[in-house]
Amino acid sequence: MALKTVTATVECPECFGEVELKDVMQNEIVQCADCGADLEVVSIDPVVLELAPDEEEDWGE
Amino acid sequence: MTSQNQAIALLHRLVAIPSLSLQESRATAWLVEQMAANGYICAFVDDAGNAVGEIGPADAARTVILLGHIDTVPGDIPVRIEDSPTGRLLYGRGSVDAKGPLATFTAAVARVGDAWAREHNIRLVVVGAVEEEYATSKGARFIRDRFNGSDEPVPDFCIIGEPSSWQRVTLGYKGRVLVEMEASQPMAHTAGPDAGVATVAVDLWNWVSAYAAEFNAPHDKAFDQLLPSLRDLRTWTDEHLHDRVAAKIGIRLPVDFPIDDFLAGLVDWANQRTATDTPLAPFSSASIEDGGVKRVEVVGPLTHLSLGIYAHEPAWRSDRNNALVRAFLAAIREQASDRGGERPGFVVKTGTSDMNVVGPAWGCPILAYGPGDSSLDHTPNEHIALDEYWQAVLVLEQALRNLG
Repeated sequence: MALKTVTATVECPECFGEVELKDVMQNEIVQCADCGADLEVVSIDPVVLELAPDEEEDWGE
Repeated sequence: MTSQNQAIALLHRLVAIPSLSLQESRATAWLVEQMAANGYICAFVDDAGNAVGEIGPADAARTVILLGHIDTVPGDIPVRIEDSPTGRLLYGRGSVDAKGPLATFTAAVARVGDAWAREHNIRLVVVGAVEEEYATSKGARFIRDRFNGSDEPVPDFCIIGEPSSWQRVTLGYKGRVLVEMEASQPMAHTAGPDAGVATVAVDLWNWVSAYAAEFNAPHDKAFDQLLPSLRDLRTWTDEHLHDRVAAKIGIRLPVDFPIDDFLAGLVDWANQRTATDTPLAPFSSASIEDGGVKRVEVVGPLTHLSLGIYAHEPAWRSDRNNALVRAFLAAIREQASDRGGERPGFVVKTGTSDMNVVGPAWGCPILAYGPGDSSLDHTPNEHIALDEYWQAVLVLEQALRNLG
């Protein structure tokens, strides 16, 4: 996987606030400083954020 | 290149070979043959009985261990493929837990191939471990000790083969400890003043429950809680005219659980319950590490009580921001785009797996992956959707290439 990183300011898909990204990689998970939402960098060219995958609990093993 | 039909045939045959814990040798021998026939440069049964297949250079810059397990719990489910409205389903013991994930590993690594692995200087090691469903986890412990940083390198990444469904990755498993208690008292008339030896087990259960309730008060999620279950409770009268009670309590542990504090509390409980003049001294969890068993006895004026503490595995949880997780998220998103945009997901599990054995030792990025619905684990209805299985093969192949 390419280790390309990007620095950018983009809109939070949850609260529409500004999220400052510094040296992030594709599929890295970041947090919105305004609303606290976990966000995934699903693309770095162009930079696109989506809500990060939910974390569920499961009783399996 | 392993095709979809070949991958399905691999899983079908693997499920059809019974492989209860301690009886895995037929299945491991067969899987090693398949690895060799599908381009693995090295395929063998190791000294623990694990099926092992490797591609890529032995001295590669990076090593990825794909640790599945080949043993199953008991249950004779006729092996068959049935059509359903959602596609073909393969029924059979182990189809989900965990031959589905193991066959996924085997097929995906075969598709990646030795040439690609050499070009990218990466070594992929697939393991079908024995005795995962047994308290010993013998196969995983052997692999953990083999890749210990001196004989073989500590892996850079580890993928555990357990069902999570094709679009989710498992980040953590709770830990576990088992407590067995047996108590005896001289036979007494039920009309007498003593409430009976069975109350010792009741008192132990009440103590464990209260300990868990206090611990859990600030924690909302099951993964962060202490979860006890009463697994066995028996009373009888022996030939020496003693009334006896035996109980077994399983406790699922959260990450960083202070097990030594719990053990000290358990010893205090035993000393107080028996009103002994020779109290037990506290003991450390070191005595139950790595499959160890600690047995202690305490004798009071009326009650003789023994405790056995064993099968301790600490909980383990991986973080979400590492190259392995990113490789899977990218691969799942790529495959999901062909399936109507399903989203990737994370899951943490209240059970245990071989992640608990190797995670603390290796400390490398680790997650569990595999197709299948884990709610079917160990059930008489165990089956896997073959479309999902193939989807998982493609996801894993891409995730491995993303690490290249």
